Amino acid sequence: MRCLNFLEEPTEGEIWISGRRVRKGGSLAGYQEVNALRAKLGMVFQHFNLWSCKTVLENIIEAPIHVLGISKRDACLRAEELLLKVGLADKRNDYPAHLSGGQQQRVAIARALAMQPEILLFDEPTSALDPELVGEVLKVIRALADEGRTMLIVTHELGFARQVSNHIVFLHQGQIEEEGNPDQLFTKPSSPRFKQFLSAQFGERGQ
Amino acid sequence: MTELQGFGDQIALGAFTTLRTALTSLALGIGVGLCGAAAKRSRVRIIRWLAGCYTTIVRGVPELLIILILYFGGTVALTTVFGRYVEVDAFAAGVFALTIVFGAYATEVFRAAIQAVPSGQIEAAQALGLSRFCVWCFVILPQMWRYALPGLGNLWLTLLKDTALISVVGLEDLMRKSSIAAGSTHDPLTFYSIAASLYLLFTSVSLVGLTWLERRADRGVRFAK
Repeated sequence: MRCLNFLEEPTEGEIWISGRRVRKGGSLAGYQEVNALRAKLGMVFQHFNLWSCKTVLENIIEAPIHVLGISKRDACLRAEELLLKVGLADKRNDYPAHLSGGQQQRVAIARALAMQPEILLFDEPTSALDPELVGEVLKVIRALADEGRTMLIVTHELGFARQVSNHIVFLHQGQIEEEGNPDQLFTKPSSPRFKQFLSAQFGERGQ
Repeated sequence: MTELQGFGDQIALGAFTTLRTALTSLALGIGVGLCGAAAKRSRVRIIRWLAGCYTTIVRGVPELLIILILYFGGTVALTTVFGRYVEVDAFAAGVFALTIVFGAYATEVFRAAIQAVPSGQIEAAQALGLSRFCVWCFVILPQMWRYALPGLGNLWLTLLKDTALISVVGLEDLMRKSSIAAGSTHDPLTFYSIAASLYLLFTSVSLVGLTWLERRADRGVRFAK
């Protein structure tokens, strides 16, 4: 996932986004090109990565102002709407350190949304959260899925993946083990590795 | 004490020169330090190497020697360039030398401070498509201060006291004025004590200011996990 927006430089292979080939083989992408690409791909990190020196609102408006070039007033208005959407309108002037993990992750989602990305990338968005905070973040992501947004999610939350996705790829040691639509995948898994993983996750609960 | 036997004004003038030298060097030195730290993180090897040479040499040679070399070296260089004897202004030479010294140490302080900024926050800024310049201004610089301030505070105190070294090339600073007064009144203890208390006063006020700055820089993070 980090190769998609060039946080890691891919060593080989091709990247296709919205029917356009972004990269093939070892050719290096230009700096401008990479930045333009990044602006279209919203990314939410496992460890939130909010800027700790800035308030919630400042975290959200920074990129729209300096990358999209919209006015501060418009950026603030849009940020307020997004905060309302993720349920944190009253926290706009707090610093990230004063928020819970779940709240920080919701701010991070709002920050990614503020750039009006074509695609949202979630890199294990709930893995660093306390179990009781996972739900609030998943709820926001589910609401985004219901809006019909294109999202790519890396997750260990199998139940959530099944409900929210329309295509699942199961990876093991960098290889695609199993791929398909969720219902088919969960009811008739063909890869032994995926079966084993499913039973380890759901086994004792009988699914 | 009768107006410090007529030397009161001179001492005050010297103290003012000391402050002026130190503050000018501080401002310039911070600039040099930031450039040095950026150079040390550069992707171009030759730039990293040059920055490395600069900090290694300046930090490895006594300040007094650097001041003397720059002062006399500067005089020789300027004389060669202009083809006639040029005397270097003591204030300019002093500020230049102290800036070079302060900049070298500040480079290391800033470099460490930049490394202390969580890399995830820099990545987040890159992932949003912010340019390198924006990442510097909005993410790295504001956070770096928090980590740099304690080290920078130390350097400032050293700088303030190092201005006394400039008196060897004739800068009429607090040290030199007190030394003149001590010599002509045959009362060294009084004048050196006064000089010492003035240095102590300046550094104490600085410490109060630094504490305030550090508290300000901690805004938003003080209750962090």
